[in-house]
Amino acid sequence: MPYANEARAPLYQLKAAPGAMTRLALGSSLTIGTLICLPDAFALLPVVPDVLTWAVRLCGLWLTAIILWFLGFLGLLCLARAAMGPVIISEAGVKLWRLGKTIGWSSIRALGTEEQKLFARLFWLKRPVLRLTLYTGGQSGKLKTQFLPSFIFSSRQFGALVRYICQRVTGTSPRSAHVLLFSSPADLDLLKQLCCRSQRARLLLSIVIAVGLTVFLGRKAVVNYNFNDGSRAFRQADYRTARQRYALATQLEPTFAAAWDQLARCEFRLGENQAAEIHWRKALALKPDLAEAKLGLSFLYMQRRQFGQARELIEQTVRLYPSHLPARVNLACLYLYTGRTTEGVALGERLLAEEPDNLRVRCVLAQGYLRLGRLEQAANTMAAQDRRALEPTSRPFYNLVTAEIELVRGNLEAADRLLLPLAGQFPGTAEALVDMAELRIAQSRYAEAEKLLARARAASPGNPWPGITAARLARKKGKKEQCLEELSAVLALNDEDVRALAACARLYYDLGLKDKAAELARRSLAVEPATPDALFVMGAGQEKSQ
Amino acid sequence: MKLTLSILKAATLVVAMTVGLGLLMAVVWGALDWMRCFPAPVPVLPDFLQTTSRYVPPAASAAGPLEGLAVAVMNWYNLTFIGATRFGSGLGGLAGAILALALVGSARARYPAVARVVAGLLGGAFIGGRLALMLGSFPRTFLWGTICGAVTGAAMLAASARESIPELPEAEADY
Repeated sequence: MPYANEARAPLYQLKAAPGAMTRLALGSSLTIGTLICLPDAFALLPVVPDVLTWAVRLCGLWLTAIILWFLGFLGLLCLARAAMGPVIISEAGVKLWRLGKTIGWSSIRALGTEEQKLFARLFWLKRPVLRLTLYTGGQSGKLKTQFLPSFIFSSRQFGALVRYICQRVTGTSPRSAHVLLFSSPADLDLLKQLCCRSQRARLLLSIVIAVGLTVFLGRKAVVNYNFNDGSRAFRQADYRTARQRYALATQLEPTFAAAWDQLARCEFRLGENQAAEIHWRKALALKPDLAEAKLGLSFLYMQRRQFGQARELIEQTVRLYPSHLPARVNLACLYLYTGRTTEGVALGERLLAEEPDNLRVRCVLAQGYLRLGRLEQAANTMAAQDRRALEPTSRPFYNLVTAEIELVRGNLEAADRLLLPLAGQFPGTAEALVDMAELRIAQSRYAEAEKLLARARAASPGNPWPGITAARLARKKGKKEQCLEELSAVLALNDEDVRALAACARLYYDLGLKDKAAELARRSLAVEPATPDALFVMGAGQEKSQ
Repeated sequence: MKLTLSILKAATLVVAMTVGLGLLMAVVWGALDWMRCFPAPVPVLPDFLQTTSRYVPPAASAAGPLEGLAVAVMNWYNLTFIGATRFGSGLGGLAGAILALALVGSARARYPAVARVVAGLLGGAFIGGRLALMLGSFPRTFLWGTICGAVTGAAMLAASARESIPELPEAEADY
């Protein structure tokens, strides 16, 4: 490449050495990894049962921090090396970085190297670690400083650079890299002043770094402690306390995706679905592949009967993590919600074979059996669960499914005992309210059933089941017109649940509208060939024609 | 012949470093996750035989054979690298690819321009594809990520062929 000024044509270059950068990344990773783990040592306390668990987990976190810092910092150093370019030496002077000006040899009035003992000790670097300072100035008498650290070069490279500059500036070639050379004794006072100022600036910088580090580590300790304490409260089903802890963690660390997900989880369990949706979306914006947030949001959509959105989220998660059990449990739930019970049961059976201790799988499977009319299989599935091993967070779902089984068996007292606390604890969950209403109908307490159904409709306006239960209630009370109105309203919802279609078919059949019943039953059977209500309607129709 | 050998050498270096470091870090991250979650059972090794999951992911709608290939690659990766091994394989693979590209880029004498471009294409494709997988298993995003990565990688390594300035002679002894 031709140079306009031949004197500026590069003679030599000095690139940062990969070995030196690796040593710096490794040394700094030991110190930084240890510092980062100090808050975790404290934050782990609420969630570990014994010292061994604490030590193993802390060790895992420490090694993780070291490896991540090492790779991340080395990557940054490589980027900086590529961006800054090499030190270029020409006849005109020395250029310290790509966008810097060439410092003319004649403008260098003095140069010196200082040892960075603290830096070397902190980052486990081979001593001496030096900093080259070039004092440059023109005729005005003012001196400017330019710095170059030795730790990104090999010691031989750096020594050669110092020697070369000394040779060009003062005509001497020092034996050591520890030098302070100046060309004019008149500059001595100015140099002393600059050195003092530089030392004060370094002291100030050290104080700022120390304060910043303390604040950073303290903040991290508070964030992690609150997150872990929130998780402890969540496991005990104390969702209000957990929500407070997670809210504090997200306030202090707004980019903490897992904390946003957990906060949304608490809000969902407390019935604050809008806030939960916002926070799950926030978690996904921060970490688009966070499976837990995708699954939480999908469950919320299932409850709102927005099955398209739920399906998309579940399928995304299943494609990303095909062996992730909760993703496949949610898929089984989706099958049940949309009335594709046979597929849900088949998947549930596979999942239970993979993880026989998973309570959620067991409950979903039992619900599936129940919806296919296989009461004994449902009861046996639930009976195989050790009641003592129930965790507080899983107990509501367990109680709901057990109550549904008792209700079908006709054990109304047992069902009442299980459902009453659920309806109080989750006032916004239509499923529990509808079951409770079914129970009240079975107990002939119709007024209470109506109130419960009104609450269920308000909680989930797109859900067909409160309407279907209201239609059953109207039929039981002998109000045919009201029953038909309810059924029309249910069909107008256009819900994807084919089991609801079958339930409507059964009601139309019972009301004597057999053609309408047969049409709905056929539509239901086209998707799910084993729905008991639809099979009954079609079976009864065929018997009659024979 | 010499050119073909150079191309093969550069490509092998990139593939070996990417796959090797990817596998190594997958196991390391699996082990670290086991420690972080102790005593909960978590997968430590990649599931090469795909025995953990008996579930086949739902078929993504593939518009053509290229998208079909992308879906097959993504499904294989997702089924094999389970749990923390997924993050580890990504981290190691990215580090390996970047390191290999840096090595090929800096050894100009050993690798001619064509070999460097081929290495850039391979390494860049892996980096782009893996980064796209962070957004989700979307075949088009994956394909675009892979193509953009390959083009960027090849362009960067092609641009690394510049006039060489001699290195400053090193001092005889350490300072």
